[in-house]
Amino acid sequence: VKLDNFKYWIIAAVILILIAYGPFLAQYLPGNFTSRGYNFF
Amino acid sequence: VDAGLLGIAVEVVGLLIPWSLGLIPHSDPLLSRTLFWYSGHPIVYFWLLPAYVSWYVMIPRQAGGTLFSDPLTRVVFIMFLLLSIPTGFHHQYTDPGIGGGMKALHGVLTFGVFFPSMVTAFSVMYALEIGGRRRGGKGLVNWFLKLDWKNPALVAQILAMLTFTLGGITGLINASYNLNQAIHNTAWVPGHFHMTVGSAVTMSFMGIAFWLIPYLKRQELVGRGLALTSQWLYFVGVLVMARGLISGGLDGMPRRTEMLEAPYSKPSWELAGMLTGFGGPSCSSVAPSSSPSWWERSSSGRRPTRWTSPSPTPITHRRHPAGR
Repeated sequence: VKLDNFKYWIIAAVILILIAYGPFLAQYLPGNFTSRGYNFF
Repeated sequence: VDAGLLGIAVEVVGLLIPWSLGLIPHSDPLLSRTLFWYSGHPIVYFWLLPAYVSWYVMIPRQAGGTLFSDPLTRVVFIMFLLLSIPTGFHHQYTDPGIGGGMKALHGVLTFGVFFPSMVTAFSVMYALEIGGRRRGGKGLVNWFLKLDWKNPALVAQILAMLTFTLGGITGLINASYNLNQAIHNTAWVPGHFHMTVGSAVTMSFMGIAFWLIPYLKRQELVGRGLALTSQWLYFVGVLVMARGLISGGLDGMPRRTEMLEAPYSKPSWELAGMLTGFGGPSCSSVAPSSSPSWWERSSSGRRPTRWTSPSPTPITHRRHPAGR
C-alpha cells in the first residue's frame, strides 16, 4: 500500500464517516428536524 | 479540515440562521449538538496536529536525535485522517436519542485514534533518547537528563509532551462509555483539556515561537532564562490546576459553575478549588515572563539564531539504526 496515495485514504475516511453518522442522520430525512425519542440501539 | 467543518457549517446555515430568521419553525437540539460535535472533535486535531508536526520534525533535530520511522509517521497522520471525524458521539454519551450501539461504535473509534498518539509518544521518546545518548547520556534515565535543558524551544515541547501523557490518559476516561458517566460535565473535563490544548499545544506553540520568531527576524532571542522560567512555571502551574480540577471532578464538582455561589458546594471541593486557584494564576503569569523573549534586539551578525545542538543526521528518509 502506498502511504502517500491520499485518494484511497480519503475514500476510506468518507466511508467511515458514513458508517458512523449515516444511520443517525438518516432519521432526519427528508427535512425532518425533530428527533425521535430515546433510542436504545 | 473542510470535511470536519462541514457539520458546524450545516448546523449554522441550515438550522440556526434559518431558525433565527423565522424561516423554519424550530431547530432540534440533538441534531444541532450532533452536527456541532461532528466538527467539535476534529477541531481538537486542528490545533493538536501542528504540535505533532513540530514534535516529529523539530524535536529530533533540536534534541540531536533522529526520527524513528518515516513510514510509521505517515501512518500516524493517515490514522488521524481516518478516525478524527467519526468519533463525535463520545461527547454525547449522555444524550438521549442516540442509540447505544452508535455511541459504542464511536467509543471504539475513539480508542482507535488513541493509537497514533501512543505511536507518537514512542517515536518522540526514541528521538529524545538518541539525542540524549549522543550527548553522553547512559543508562535507563541518565540520557533524559543529558538533553539540552537550556534550549527553551526544546524544553517547552518536552514539558508539553510530559503533560500530554496525563492529558491522553484522562482522555481515555472521557472516551470510555461507562467511566464517562462518572465524570461527565464535571470539573474533570476542563482538567483534561488543560493538559491537552491548555498545555501540550500551548507550550508547544510557545516553544515553536521561541525558535521561529528569532529565526524569521534573524535576531537573537532575548532572555533565554525568562523563556525557560516561563515554561517551567506554566508546567507546574497547569499540573497543579489540573490536579485540582481532576480531583474535584471525581468528587462530582460541576464544570461551568461559579462554585463560590453554589449553595450545594461540598467541603471536600475546597482543596480542588484552592489548587485550581493557585495553578491558574501561575499559568497566567507566563505571559509577562515569556513575552520579553520575543522583543527585538539588534544583532550585528544578522544570522539566524541556532538553538540546537548541531544535528548529525537528517531527520527524514533515514532507515532505523537497527536496519529495518
